[in-house]
Amino acid sequence: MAPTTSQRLNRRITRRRALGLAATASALATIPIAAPADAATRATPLPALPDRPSNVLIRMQGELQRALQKPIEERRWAMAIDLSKCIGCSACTIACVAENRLPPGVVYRPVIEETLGTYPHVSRKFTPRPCMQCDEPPCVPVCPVSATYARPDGIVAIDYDACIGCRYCVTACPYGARTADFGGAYSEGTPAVQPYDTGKSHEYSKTRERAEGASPIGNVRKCHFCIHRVEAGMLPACVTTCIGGATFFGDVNDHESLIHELAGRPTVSRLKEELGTKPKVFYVS
Amino acid sequence: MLRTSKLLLPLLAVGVVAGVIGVWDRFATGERALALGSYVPWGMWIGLYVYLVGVSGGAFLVAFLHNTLGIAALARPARYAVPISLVTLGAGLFLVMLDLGRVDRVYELFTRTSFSSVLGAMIWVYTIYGVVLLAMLVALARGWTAQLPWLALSGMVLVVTFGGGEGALFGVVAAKSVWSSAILPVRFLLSAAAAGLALVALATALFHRGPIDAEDQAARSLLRRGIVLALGGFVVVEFAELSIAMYSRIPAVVEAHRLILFGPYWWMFWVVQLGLGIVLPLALLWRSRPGSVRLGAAATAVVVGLAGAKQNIVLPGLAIPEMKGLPEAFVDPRLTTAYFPGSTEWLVAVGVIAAAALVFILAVEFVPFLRPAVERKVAQ
Repeated sequence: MAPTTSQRLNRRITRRRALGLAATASALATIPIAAPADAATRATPLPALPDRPSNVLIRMQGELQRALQKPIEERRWAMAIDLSKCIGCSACTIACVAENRLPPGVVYRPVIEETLGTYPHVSRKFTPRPCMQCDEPPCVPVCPVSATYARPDGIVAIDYDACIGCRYCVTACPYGARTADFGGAYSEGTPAVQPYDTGKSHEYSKTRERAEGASPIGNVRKCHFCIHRVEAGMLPACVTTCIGGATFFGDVNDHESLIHELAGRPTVSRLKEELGTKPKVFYVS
Repeated sequence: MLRTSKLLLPLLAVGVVAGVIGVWDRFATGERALALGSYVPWGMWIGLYVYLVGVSGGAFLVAFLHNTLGIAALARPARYAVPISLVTLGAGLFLVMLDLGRVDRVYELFTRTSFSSVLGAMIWVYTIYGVVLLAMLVALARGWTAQLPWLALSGMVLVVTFGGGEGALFGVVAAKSVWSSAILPVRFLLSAAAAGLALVALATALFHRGPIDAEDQAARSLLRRGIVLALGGFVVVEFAELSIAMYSRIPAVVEAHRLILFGPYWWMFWVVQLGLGIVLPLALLWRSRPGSVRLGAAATAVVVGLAGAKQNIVLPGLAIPEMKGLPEAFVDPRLTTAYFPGSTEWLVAVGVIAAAALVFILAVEFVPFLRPAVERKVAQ
């Protein structure tokens, strides 16, 4: 059956909105990705943003810059994911792999897929699963050398130069959000290890060459909300690349922020809330 | 040298060579040589580490019973207990060290210990325990009998601490329903006691010199009773754990236990753990006054079977994904819940156990004070 005028209009609007989102995402994503938050980067003035942005990415970018003006202990980084908007494209997963130079077997933000219902009422559910950055993280107290810790802004971080790779924290995470870096390379077994396997990473605002015997090889790794980007005034890679505009990020302590608004919705839920880990990733549906 | 030693030494030497190859491979290829992944981050080495360290504690029980509680009948096995404790502790700790992603930072366990971590605290307990064992060796060598009761008592306190602590190492992980159990430390203590006593009994049966006299019979009878008692306690605790979990009807809990009982490695529970580790030794030790062959066979069965029991705690706990659909969300060989040890893991495991046994045999053959007094005379 041919689509009606109203259906065609809806489709056009949807397509236009999607193109708009994609254009904004590409613009934000091209802001020097993975630049370390060193003094030189901070000194570069960021583009001025409109006071009342109509685009959520622009709004979140402004809120992020506002949050960075506050002392670190007054910030509380959080993420919201609108499951009704997630289309399961895994762009966030791939952006994360590219941004953090993740080797084979290491993933920070997989998208879990589920089929719900039975024919004829069948649907697909996509649940991106970053680190929950728990307020009560079970992974922290088990670390025998205090290499994993909660930062004042709520990010659960790993000190790659202290981690001994015992992987106790991997077993303790109830969300399976930690992966171990066993030192693999995508071009392993080919005549030459390719540059994409040895490129520099900027996690935790520290530039590291990937080389045998050097951290993070042998360490445990996890999502850190792209804190190196955030501290340089940029949104996490998964947020700027989300085609469906399903991922939101900001300072939940900022009561004017979008993330604060989303986290307060009655339909919001958190994974395995019954464990009392107090995740800072809110799922909106 | 005993005929048993002559027979075992070449075999163990081959095992050590295999282990050297495995260790070389581990360092040459890093962790890439291991079949582990991020959803099964601990494998056979961790299972063996908790087992061997537990065996060390169980064997030490004999030294404690003799030196501190004054059970004279255990004088001869008590001589073997200290070296057994030392070599099994060393073997276990060597395995867990090799399992670290950053072996070069192992010293950090001492320099920046977090005592909120069971693992962090345990490292210190193991270290102090190792020092106590060395001190006992020195006391035995010098004949300082007055110091032995206190050393054995302090060692026993440490044994109970780390024996239960190993259970706590897993028990505190609330994320794993199959591990998160308050009874786990008790289960670890009982299996450690059974396996440790069994290993001392095996050494007693294998390395005995001269005719078996009344004192030997008394020692064997006590070891037999100890093994049976510890195994009995272990069965009760194991049954409590399994039955409560299965009756809970909570899918995450039931699933892991169902995996133990009926999963792809069902034989590990029914054949190795239950058949070899419990039923066979109980049948062999049911009658009193076991001979060397019966005692040795029963002890071997316990030592092998309960090693399987430890693997059955570590691996099924990790085989259930934290979230349904997680292993399928990002496909990679290291992001799967399937695990079978790789060749490096096997080589190292065989090598470490062989090296521990080799050191023990060489010690009892060539270090006179480690042999019971009566056997020293026979050897001369």
